[in-house]
Amino acid sequence: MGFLTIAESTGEVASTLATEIIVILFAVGIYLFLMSQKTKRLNFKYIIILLSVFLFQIMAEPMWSDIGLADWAYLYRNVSWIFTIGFASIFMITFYIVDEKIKNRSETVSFFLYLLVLTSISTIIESILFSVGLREYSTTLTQSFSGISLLGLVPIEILLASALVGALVIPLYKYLTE
Amino acid sequence: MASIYKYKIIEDEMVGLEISLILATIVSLIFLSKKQKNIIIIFLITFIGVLLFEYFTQALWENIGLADWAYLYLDIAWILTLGWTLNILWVTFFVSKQFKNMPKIGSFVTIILLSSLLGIVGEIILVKTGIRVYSPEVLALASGNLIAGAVPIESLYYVPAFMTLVVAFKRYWQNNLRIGGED
Repeated sequence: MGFLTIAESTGEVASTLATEIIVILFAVGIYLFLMSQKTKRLNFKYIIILLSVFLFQIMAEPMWSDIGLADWAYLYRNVSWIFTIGFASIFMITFYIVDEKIKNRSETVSFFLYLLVLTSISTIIESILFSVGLREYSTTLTQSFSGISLLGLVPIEILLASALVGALVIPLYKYLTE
Repeated sequence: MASIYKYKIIEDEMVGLEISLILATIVSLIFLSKKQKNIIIIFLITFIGVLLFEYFTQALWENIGLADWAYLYLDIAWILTLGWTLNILWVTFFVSKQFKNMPKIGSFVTIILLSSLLGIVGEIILVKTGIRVYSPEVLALASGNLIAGAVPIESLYYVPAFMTLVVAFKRYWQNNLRIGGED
């Protein structure tokens, strides 16, 4: 399909089984941590954020591929449930940080704080995925890139894409859970 | 980008589409403003939600043949953003009038279903007039089955996914800004 990957130039191949185990442990760890914090309706919130992230994965499927993971890590085609739980966990820890650690704000201010925290974390994660070759962008997508890179490593558009995903997923989650 | 659809683009018809959508927006806002408070703000929120989504997914398709002034950035056409926005506003208005006692989650789902239906009809028109062309990656993932001989059948879940995110965006900001609204 003409996908490009930075891994082709670096020659690096990710140790994918390690990736899957790390993501699962990370997701379980976040879940147990939020449970220990007595987060209200935790299971319901997790279901909603998983669905929200999955919706976005469906939409973005033609734009990138999640490659190199074990067969059992895929839900269908190149949509990986490993990344669904991984990014859902990043959203959940973002909500925790903003709601519990930075209090006394309006929801509007919270929204932008969510975006700030989420974009910071997910840009780093996305950059790692891209750099180790687990994430490939479609040719059409790379053609729309400006050519400017973030710290000389990854396209700056990753930063914008992370914020855009948050700007649409956060309202869906918040609307359905509040 | 090559299109599998070989419909002739007629520039005059394109300008007609642009003018029609602008007029439809003006008429809709005048009508809805008499029925609904803060309709301009609600319109702007919805427009921004659609635009965010279009910006994110711009690599999935091209909008071609419109007048230069109809484009905002690359091939993102604000004219088509108006079309999606009007779809959501009118469906919201219709659902609020026809299903007054429906719980919020029920109206949320109904709005998504109805606006998706209209959205798919809109997509068929755009593809058949040659305005909308899908990227090779979208066509590669599509099964090859088409609705009305134009739109990939996968739009049956792509369009509702889009609507779910945008309608939630609209409701979330209506609640946040406490501007009320029909839904």
